Amino acid sequence: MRRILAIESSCDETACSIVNEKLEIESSVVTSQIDVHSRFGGVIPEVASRMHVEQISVMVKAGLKDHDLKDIDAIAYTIGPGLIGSLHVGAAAAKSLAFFYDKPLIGVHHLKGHIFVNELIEPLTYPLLALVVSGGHTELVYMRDEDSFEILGTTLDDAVGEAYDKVARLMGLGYPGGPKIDNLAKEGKKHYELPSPKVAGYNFSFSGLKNACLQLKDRLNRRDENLIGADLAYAFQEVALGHLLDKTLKVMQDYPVNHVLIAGGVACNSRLRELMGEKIKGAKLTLPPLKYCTDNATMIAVAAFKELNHQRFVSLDAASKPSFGIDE
Amino acid sequence: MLTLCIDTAYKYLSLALIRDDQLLYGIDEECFKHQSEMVFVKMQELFENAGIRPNDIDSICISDGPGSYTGVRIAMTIGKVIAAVNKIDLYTISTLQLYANGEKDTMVILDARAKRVYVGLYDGIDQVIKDQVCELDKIDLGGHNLYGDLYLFEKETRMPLISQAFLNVRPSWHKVENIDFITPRYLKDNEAYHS
Ligand SMILES: [Zn+2]
Repeated sequence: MRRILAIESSCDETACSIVNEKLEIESSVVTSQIDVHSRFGGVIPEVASRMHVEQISVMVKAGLKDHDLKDIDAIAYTIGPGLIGSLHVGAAAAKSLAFFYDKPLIGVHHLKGHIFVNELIEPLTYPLLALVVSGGHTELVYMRDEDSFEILGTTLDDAVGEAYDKVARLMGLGYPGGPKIDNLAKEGKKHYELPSPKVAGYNFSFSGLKNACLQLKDRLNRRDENLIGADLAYAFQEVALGHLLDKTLKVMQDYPVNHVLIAGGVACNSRLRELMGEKIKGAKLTLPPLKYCTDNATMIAVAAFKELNHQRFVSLDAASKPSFGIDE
Repeated sequence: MLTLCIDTAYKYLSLALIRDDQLLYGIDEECFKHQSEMVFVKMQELFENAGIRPNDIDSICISDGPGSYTGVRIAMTIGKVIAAVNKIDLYTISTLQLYANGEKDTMVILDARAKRVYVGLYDGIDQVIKDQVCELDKIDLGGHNLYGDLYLFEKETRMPLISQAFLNVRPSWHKVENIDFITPRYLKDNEAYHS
């Protein structure tokens, strides 16, 4: 049976997994730097790179567990997009194994990992619409088949996860903002009015919404009124997620879609999952378990099987691609 | 002992295969910011020319900084991963000590940007002053033998043959006790925390 060992290091998680061709996970380890970055209110690239180097040997050993590299058919790694310094560490580790053990090397697009990991839940059916949402991405990816990726919509400014982080910061909630706002919003009610973003087509915009939150806070400050955090969290979340839903539904009106899935860190958001469940009709919906939404190497291995099946390998001099479009 | 030596810490990509006290093959290139792409291509060339299979090595020696942040991490990642998986020994050498080439009374100066330099002073294989980062205008070149970015002092930049230098400083290779704990010598530690 064919097996792929994969390494993921594109942002602030260092991870290593082995997945076999039946898509069984034979090993999977992830270490997150989130506790460190939360002290600085966000991911600091140089700190992230340093932590990847610190972790890399431990993670590769733990990922290999009792496997022999002889039983591995290919080495995969995240080639991009991501933080360049972080990508370099995963690339050097993967190339080391590929070179010393004479294995084919597979460079995986990070977002394809987020999408294809859903095959662990159920088969993907096409045409498929993936809403990829994280701290770095807000994309509607349309797939006619498993080898075609069309970006129908993307953010014109902040990624949705970034907007969560910024709004959480102005509310003094700390980093990462997503889970904090999600939890606080559960105690909130309809009270503050925030404007819905107006963007043509299937694109997104979150900076206006973030500014509206800031202006609301300033206005209340000037009037010596208390800002009710839970109500702001509620208002922000309803508008931000409503915006994601609107565009997703708009694509579904205009394009044939058999399967909808959400992917990326923001796919952990409980309210987004609830809204998707309510609003997506007439297509299969996959809401991946939380452990597959955040970054991991299992997703890189699963996506790498697609490349292996097409015999698409990269050479040892492959450059990491910090900004790498899924449609390239 | 058959050792693969790797220096990607600064502007160069240098590789050497050293068996006991003999340099079997060396590769030295100027390769600023492209070490990540080039290191394995050159390593392939190194092993082919030396007629040795990669998994025949029983140790790795890397320069672990100071240098470019990205650069030092490349050799260190390779060293840590291969030492871990192959269960072989990992050795480190300071980039400045490596570039001092084991020569008498030798100062090595590398550009650390923002009018600062990394400086090391060695006498043979002995360290005279600790590797450090200094203001450029505080450096006194004295009468030392000099290597490094001497253009900063309006002299011609001078570098030893780094692959050979690995052999010349061999008594100073430091054996790493726990490969999982080692980190590069960045020297400018606090700088990481400015985003
Ligand atoms: Zn991700």
